[in-house]
Amino acid sequence: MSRKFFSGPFILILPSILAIGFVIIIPLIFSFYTSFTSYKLTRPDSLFNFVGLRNYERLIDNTKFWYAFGRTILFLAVVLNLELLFGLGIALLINKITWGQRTLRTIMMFPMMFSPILVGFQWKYIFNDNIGLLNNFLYLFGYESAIPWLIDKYLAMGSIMVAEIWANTSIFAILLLAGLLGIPRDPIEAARVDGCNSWQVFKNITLPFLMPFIFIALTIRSLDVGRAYDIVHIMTGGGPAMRTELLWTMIARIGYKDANMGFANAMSYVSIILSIAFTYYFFTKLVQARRDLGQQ
Amino acid sequence: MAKVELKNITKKYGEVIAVQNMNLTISDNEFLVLVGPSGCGKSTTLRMIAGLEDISGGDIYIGDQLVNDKDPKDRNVSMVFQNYALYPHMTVEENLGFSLKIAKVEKEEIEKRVKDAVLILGLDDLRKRKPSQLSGGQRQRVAMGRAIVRRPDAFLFDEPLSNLDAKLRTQMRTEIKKLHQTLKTTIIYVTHDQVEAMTLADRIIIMKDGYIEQIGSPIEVFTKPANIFVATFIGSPPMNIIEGDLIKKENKLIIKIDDEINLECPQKIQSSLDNKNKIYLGIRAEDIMPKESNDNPSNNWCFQKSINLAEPLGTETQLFFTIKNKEIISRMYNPKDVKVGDKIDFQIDPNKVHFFDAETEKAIF
Amino acid sequence: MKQIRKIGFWFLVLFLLILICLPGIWIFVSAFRPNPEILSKPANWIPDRWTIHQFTQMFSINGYVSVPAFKYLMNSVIISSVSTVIAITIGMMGGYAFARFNFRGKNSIFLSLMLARAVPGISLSLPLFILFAKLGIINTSFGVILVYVAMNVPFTIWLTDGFFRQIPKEMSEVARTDGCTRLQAFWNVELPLAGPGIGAAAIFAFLLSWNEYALASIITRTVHSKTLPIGMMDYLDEFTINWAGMCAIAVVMIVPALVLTFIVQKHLVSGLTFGGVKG
Repeated sequence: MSRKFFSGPFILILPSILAIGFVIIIPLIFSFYTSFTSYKLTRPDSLFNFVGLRNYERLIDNTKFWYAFGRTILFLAVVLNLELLFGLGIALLINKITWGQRTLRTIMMFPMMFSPILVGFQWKYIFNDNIGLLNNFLYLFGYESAIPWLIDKYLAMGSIMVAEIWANTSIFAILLLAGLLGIPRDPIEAARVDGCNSWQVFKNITLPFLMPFIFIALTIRSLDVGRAYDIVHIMTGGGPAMRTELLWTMIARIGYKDANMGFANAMSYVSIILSIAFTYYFFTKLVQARRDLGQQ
Repeated sequence: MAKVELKNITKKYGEVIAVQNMNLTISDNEFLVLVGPSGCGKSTTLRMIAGLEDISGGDIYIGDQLVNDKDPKDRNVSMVFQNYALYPHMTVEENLGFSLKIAKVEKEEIEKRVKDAVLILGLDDLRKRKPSQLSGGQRQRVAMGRAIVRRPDAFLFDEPLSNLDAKLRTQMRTEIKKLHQTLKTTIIYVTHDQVEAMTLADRIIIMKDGYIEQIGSPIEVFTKPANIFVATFIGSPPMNIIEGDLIKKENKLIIKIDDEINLECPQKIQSSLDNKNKIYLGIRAEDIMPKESNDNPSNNWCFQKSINLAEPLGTETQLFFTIKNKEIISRMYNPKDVKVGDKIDFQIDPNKVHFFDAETEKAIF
Repeated sequence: MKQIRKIGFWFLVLFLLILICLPGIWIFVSAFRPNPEILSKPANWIPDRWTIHQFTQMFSINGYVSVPAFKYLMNSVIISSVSTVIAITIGMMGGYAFARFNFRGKNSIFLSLMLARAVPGISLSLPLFILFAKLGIINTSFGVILVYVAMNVPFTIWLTDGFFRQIPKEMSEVARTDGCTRLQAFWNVELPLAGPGIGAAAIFAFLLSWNEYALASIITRTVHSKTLPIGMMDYLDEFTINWAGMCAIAVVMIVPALVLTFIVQKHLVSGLTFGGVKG
């Protein structure tokens, strides 16, 4: 048996575990420790100044943090739902096209391959109140007063959401399209014969078949929600007046600008748990959806 | 060419036992068929011989060598899989020569052996094709060719014909049989199809739930099934099994089937029926025949039943009726029109009836 | 009625296309025009004068360098390529193990690897920064490569696991009874068959490294190791933005990404949907 143990799968997985251990697990353990100290980058000796749960207590008392936390949840809820909805719509649309479907699918993938930093920059440009494309476009229709998309306290968040949705809807669209293309014809035709209308067919046949694909997309997407940091960082930097501050930008500001590592790390942990919770939730849903469909 | 020996082979998956204490010697050049319902452990046995599954206990010998801890590559056996498992990225020729190339055989030798195999299997026109350009039967041949080229000690076939349609299956069956005669090598063949087993095998092993139920030649397992399972598994339609009560009457032992059917128990088995009050009768459909005028009048194994269903098949008509709520099939070899509800006189040849113990389900001879 | 619906349908598709493509086209166009023209109102879609000024300056063809974009490009290419090769090699081994072996805790190990991937870059950057500074690999290509390998491994495992699963198990088994060792069977049979899929996974890993910002912005400090996404910020001054320069460097970033996307698309989708969870 021991022969099998050493020649077996564990040897193959070991390098992966080592790489992740060194770059992700060890730093996380370290930051977990520092979240219990008053560590400041500028004062290395503070690394050993153990303060117990004080950073977490400060976190709980910090209204700005809770605003950022709530905003992050809201942001993710809105953005993920809209991406799913639009993605589904686009997938259904493209599924109907018979001519040029593959080309369209390829074009659809483009936003996926834009660096988030580029997406941020691109939309910062579009939403720029002075030279932005959008205001320029509105100007054509005689709307001459420049709308301060990224400066107005309400519009800024919406603008960021638009950028985020633009960048990530295609993941949903492409995976859902793959799901649609894989749906067997027979159940749909059977349902038609049984007297279902288009909506009933969609609700009772198409959607259940799509569920695993929806959760695949959500799982993959949730692995990367943190990348929204790049977009926000470029577009508004958390402004105006912290109106677009998300957990991630707040971590960066407190950790690097204020050099307050201990506090920032405590916050990091909240964001990590948030990300992992999202991923875990969707992953278990995915397993369940596959089981429901009788797939392994 | 070599004999294969299994000694006390056991395979467990966690708590589940797939194969239990199996002992088996496959002699040189023998065509052995493992047959049984799915999940009976026949494929697992084959895969253990190939080295694709670890064995949980026991020893496997190929030739005279213990191969328990040998990798598949060192066992010098070839396997043909149900889905052929041809290498899709290689041509027919490359598929055939692959194992030799891995073994670093010289190029001329590879070419020669591939050519031989191609000729034996009639693949000459297809040498440059990729598997995706072949039909099912052709793929099957390439898969066999790949095994032949290696000149293994034993061929292992894992349900090789079950992906083919009925007509092709019959044809390939014949080819495999011929191949065995040409190559004179040990073949271990797994199938769930009892017709395949009967037609191909020198010896059949019938398995169920990890145990061997019976080993024997095709004729043996058909005419002398060791138990009810084998009796119903081998032969088509399956053997009729009828339950009967044993009653002593005027020094005679009577088998009471139902109110109308009482049969006299043959002398030869009476001694094994002491203290028993129940017995199972196994009768093949061809041994329950409608009575004809010229039949032996001394046969008293007769009864009358009304027909539930008649299926004319041309050369014969299968008649269905019930005894004690169990459906019984009879074969009528001189077909005449029979309508549902017709009452027909049947007779059974007592010499062809199989008797099984009611508790152990084992045959009583 | 049917006619109207059809027109509406195509109008929707067209609208979609515009929405997806327009921002990119605008960037592309703007990279080739003089800076003042970008600011013109109303928007000018076809430049009056095409110029490659931004590119010549970026790649210091006329001697004057404001932003060492060529150096950034080289850093990006090296870091992305090397980290991709390593990540694919390691990840492929893992993916193969998940696809072909059954072992205790398989699903939980798989899930843990995925969850490791879910840690947001910015949360990781603080401790990584300190750790790397202590080890002296801050601001080195080696450090960045190491990070990207770890970031890419989980996803590569997900993808390759899917691709290996699509190859029937019998392929490897028949090769082994044909006289191959497990490694030979992998090398001669499974790897060539999974080739396109692994290529797709590689390109995906490459793009992730190519586009990454949050971590690189912390652990790279100078021209020595900065990648293009970080270099792009050079055009962002405290008060002014050199839009044309930014557009130009954006083009340098996008073009390879688009070409690679084009190559990868088919296999990427099948790998994503196939891999992942199983009993």
